[in-house]
Amino acid sequence: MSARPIRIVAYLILILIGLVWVAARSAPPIVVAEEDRDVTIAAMEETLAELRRATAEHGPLVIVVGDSSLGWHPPLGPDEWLKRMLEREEGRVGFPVRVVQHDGYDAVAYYLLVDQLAALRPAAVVLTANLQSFTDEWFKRTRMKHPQLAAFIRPLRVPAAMQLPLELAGITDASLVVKPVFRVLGASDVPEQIDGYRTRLREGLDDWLARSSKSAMATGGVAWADPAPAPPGVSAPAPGPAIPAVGAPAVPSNVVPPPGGGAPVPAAPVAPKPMMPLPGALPGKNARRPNAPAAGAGVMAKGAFRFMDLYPENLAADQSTVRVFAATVHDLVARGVRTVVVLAPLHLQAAKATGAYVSRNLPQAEKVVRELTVDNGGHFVDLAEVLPQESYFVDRYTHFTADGNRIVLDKLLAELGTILGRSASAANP
Amino acid sequence: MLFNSTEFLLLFVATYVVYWALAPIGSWRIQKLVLLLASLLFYMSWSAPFVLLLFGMVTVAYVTGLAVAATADERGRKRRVGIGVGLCLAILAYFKYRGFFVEILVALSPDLQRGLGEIVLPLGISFYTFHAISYMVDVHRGAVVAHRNFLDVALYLAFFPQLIAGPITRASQFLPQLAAPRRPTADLVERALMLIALGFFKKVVCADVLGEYVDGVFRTLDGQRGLNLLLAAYVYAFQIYFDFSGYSDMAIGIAALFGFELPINFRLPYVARDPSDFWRRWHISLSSWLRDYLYVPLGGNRRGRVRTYVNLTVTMLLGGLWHGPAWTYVLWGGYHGALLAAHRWWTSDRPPPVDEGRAGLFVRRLVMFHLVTIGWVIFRARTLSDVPTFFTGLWRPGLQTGPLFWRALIWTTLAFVVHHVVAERPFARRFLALPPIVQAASYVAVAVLVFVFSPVTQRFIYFQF
Repeated sequence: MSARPIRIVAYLILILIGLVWVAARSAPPIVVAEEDRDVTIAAMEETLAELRRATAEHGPLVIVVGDSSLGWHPPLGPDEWLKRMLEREEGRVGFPVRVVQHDGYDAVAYYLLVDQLAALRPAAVVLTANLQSFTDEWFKRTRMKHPQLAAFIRPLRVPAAMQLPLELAGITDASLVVKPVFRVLGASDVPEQIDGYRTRLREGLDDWLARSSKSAMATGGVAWADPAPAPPGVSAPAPGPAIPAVGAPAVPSNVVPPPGGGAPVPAAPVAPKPMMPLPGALPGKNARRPNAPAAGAGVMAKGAFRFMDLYPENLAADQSTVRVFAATVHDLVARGVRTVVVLAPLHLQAAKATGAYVSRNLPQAEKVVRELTVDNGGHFVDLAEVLPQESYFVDRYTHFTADGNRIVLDKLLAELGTILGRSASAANP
Repeated sequence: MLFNSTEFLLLFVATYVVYWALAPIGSWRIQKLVLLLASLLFYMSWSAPFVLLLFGMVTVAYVTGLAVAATADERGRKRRVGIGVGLCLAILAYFKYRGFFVEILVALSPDLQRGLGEIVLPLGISFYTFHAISYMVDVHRGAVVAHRNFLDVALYLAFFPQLIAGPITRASQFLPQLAAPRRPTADLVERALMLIALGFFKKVVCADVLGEYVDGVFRTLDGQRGLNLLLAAYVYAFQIYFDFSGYSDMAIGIAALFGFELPINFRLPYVARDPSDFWRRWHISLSSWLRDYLYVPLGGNRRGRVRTYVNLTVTMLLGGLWHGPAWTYVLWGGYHGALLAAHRWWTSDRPPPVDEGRAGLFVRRLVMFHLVTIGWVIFRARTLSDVPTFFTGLWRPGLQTGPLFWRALIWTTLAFVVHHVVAERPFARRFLALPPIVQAASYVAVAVLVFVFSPVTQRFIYFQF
């Protein structure tokens, strides 16, 4: 072969590298919204660094990783949410407790973080298992996944990860290989920066076409290209400060812009942002929250939940979430990490109240999650039995009330005490 | 695994490096084995168990080839190739058309519905079945010798650039290339790079962008205004062309990087002047396969005028059915069969047209383009009842616009113009004469456009066939 094709390829690579370099250099810095903390590489690096510092200072940690069930939502008081309660009452466990929490965290996020969590040599890792996440619909809801976390998976686990149906959750085999490389190269943000250009270009083109269409067509409605109108009872989320991750201030911000613009003014009282009302909702600034009431409306009608297929029916061991969760527990246990799975929040009573889950075979689902945990060497904490009353749930958010949180806390800490105490005595006869 | 996916890029790079790293060692057999393994990995990324079906087809073709070569008795040879072809067609019929025939039977007798479950359609089965038939028939015809090397036959059927959606390569075109180590020329590699870039451009920047509009229209045919439907028909004509020819370009280019030459599959089909001309330009590897392995054995044009029309129609009906078990494909095939027969009838007693001038040529092309576009509406319709819905909807007044509409209109208009300009001024030779740095810059521009316009990855349309 002559040098001509080689020169073409060499020029091509050089020009591409140059272009990417210039684009990355001239890209505006990525501003991570507080609500996106711990779903980006940079933020997770900070969180992990904080956990490492805490481990160095205090010894092995109990790390609780979970979703919105651990977070704050109205009408909880500043000290009535699980994350705060767990960290405040860590003395009852005998180990420092740290919570890594984000809305929508589920088996996929846990699985991608296994290497990093195990490397901290924690006393235990607690994973919340929200039954809502054990549906194919949820599993494929890529906007609730956090593909950046694929950067934290180590090469040895990549082949096993490729066997799991992660691509359904937006984690492609290629991203399992490529993202850690970008992270190692210190260029974690480059794909997102480049993607930012794409978004701007495409949005710019669409804006231009939309403007052109308005000027070109005096009449004529816009067809399906526009977003479908929101169904009754659905509205856009209200902006607000977010829950901090580990290492961030306990209350992230008390400064919000006043309605209509102007200088920010302190908001009172100091309270974290409401968590996502229902873990089925979509994140992001343009997301719709399925059960968020329309402006001025009251709590959503119970019947509206009937149209949301968020809970599993006849859950089986080959369901995608089950497979990934089982692999997570297995991999953690295989590295000597005591792993506790908390089936929470079940909000069975809230489920009945809203009418969404009456036909769901939840005992079967509980059984499957219990088996996947126990079979892989984990400990299973079932909260269903301690949650007998609707008063432990908030209808609108289908999360725990303060009383519910207290019961969950007591049960979880008692189980942790037993598990860690038993393990400790087993290790030191 | 799509050609325009990162997974494929990784597989391709790894295969390419290993394949050419083995070349200096002189182990052509191991190089071929590497290609076969990569092909199996490529197929297994869709479904591992169905690799067994692919191997079953390879085995049928391989054994039949040897059996045919083992006897000189023509009747015995015919019987053996008949059994082999019959087996392959039976496998194809079972996996691809079982549901179609069950549907017909159930319509006749609803009691049959019980116990007749769904069957997964193996990816690319239509293509590798045709490869297998091509091998067996070519051995019978003496166009290719029966290969004792199983690896060669397996690689012919499974070669990953052509495995899923063609081009349908003849055994007599491909197998001789396996005889000796491939030594690609610089021209071939340069052409390969151009084809791959062009394929990406066609698929991502053209087909997928156009597809957004077409999908929207065909999802809600009832509510669409006439002008929207009209545009959707034109847009789909170009979407399917860009999608399939883009895939073919990539397949040919990728194969060329391994030193293999695959047949050209498209030659600017929308500048065709008549139905025969169209089928010499559209999916050439399929149309020529149907001609040589179906139309000619049926008698072709050797048995009188009426029989010729019948043969043309039957060939195209089966060609339509080859695309899938749906009445819309049958109707589409019948429509093209009727066009070919009508054209044959019209031209049979008339002298060939004298120079008709540019305007006359353009009008003929325009008429043919519209005839083909009518066919595409039938092809794209989800059900047979969508076809009259579409055509009656064309008279519905009004127009709905939006970004997708304008993007589709602009893209389609550009595509139409470029299509006709390229027909007059061939593009490839001029491009390949450009200096390397200009070519490289063009590829970077394509890469940027591909990146900007790549939405959620779309499957290639022809994967379903």
